Amino acid sequence: MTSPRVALVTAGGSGMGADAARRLSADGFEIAILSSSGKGEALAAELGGIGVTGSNRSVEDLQALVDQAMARWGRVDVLVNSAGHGPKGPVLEISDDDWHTGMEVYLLNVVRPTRMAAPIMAAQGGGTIINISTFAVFEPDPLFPTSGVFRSALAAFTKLFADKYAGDNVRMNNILPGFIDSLPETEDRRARIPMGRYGRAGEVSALIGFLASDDAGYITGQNLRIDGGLTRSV
Amino acid sequence: MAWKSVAMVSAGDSGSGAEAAWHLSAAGHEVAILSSSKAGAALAHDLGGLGVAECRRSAAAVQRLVDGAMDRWGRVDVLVNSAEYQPAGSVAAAGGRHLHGIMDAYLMNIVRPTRIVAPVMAEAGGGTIVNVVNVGGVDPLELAPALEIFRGAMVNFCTLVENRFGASGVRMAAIVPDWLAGQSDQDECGAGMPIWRFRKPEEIPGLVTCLVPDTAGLLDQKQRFDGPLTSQYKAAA
Repeated sequence: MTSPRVALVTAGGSGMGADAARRLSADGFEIAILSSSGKGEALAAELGGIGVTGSNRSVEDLQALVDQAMARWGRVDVLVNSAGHGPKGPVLEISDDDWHTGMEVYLLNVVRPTRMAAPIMAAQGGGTIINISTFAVFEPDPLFPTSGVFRSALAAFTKLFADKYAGDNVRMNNILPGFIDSLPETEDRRARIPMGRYGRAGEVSALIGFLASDDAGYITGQNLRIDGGLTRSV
Repeated sequence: MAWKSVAMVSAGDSGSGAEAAWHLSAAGHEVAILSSSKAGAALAHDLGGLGVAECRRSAAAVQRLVDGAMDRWGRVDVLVNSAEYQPAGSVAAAGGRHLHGIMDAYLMNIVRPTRIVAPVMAEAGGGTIVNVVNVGGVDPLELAPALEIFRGAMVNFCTLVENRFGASGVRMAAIVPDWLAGQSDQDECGAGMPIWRFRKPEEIPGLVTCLVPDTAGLLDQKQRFDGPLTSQYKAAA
């Protein structure tokens, strides 16, 4: 009997996180989902996995996700970190508190679960962490100021992490989606995309599925754009 | 009487900030200095300028210095944001609260003065903001990890501000230097550098002064200043 392959998805109740959970389940992974809405718990039940309703800002809730997965399957192969939505607004009108909230939503959402999963992965001989980031990392977009700023920080964190854990066969990569159909389309955004259409959540999940697979075993520390050419000039 | 350009320097009590204040004064700017120690106020006094010695994490302190500069000179042309050095520790050890503290020191130190000064500059037709950023905004190094995370965030923030205020003539530049001599006890970092030595304090202000004139408007906004450290770091390791 082969051991199961186990994937954890944080902020996985809806949008790209939920789609990634479905994809990884279809690829044969056991799935554990953390989400704040209860939708993640329902999806996990549908996929025969573990669902925890809680916040990805809560160390206790994240620990519950990891502990329940370890109790049931004894390993963690993949961690997918999605995120909610952080503060927006004109760049100099964002308050100090909102900047700090932005860091919670877009940087610590990765740092906290990584702190728990990485030692498990290193001890079992390997694993991979995939973070859903944004196209606005290398050239920010005024529509998503705190997302761009703190996912820039995430890009730096990812390189630091990738360097430190490469020898343990634990990889980390970021996916930088453009405008994806998990959110309602707007004409002005669509007009900015060289390919002339929004990306499909399934296209993002396909990339996540690839990064989670052994075929991607030599890719680490990278920021992969999937944006229909939106930031091709950057 | 011709007006003189007015330069504000935050964290201007020592290191790159103080050197920048000296250089800008020598280059003919009036200087206003914000610092957490009396050294900044003393330096401002020596240079015939304005000083506010108060915790510069306070928006009120920034506002006081801007108000003082506007009262005395009626303008602010240049803002130099420097950072107080503080050991940041490792990523693994950094808890959530700790990271918020580092963010205050290495990102909000730039956000707070910029929030107050950029609209003043835009109203007056333009100005230049220069951020002295430690090594790592472009390619983070393991040696000072938690700090490096916020350098990337800062560079992203700079670009957002340029997008918003560039049309009003406000420019932003980030200088990305390596370690200052005597600032790090990491011998291997000096040894790994292509130029084979740490930066001297006076080497950054020259670049700050060079970035200030309008003629520098077309320079790339991220000037590395690290003796090609980041470009060759992996090869040297």
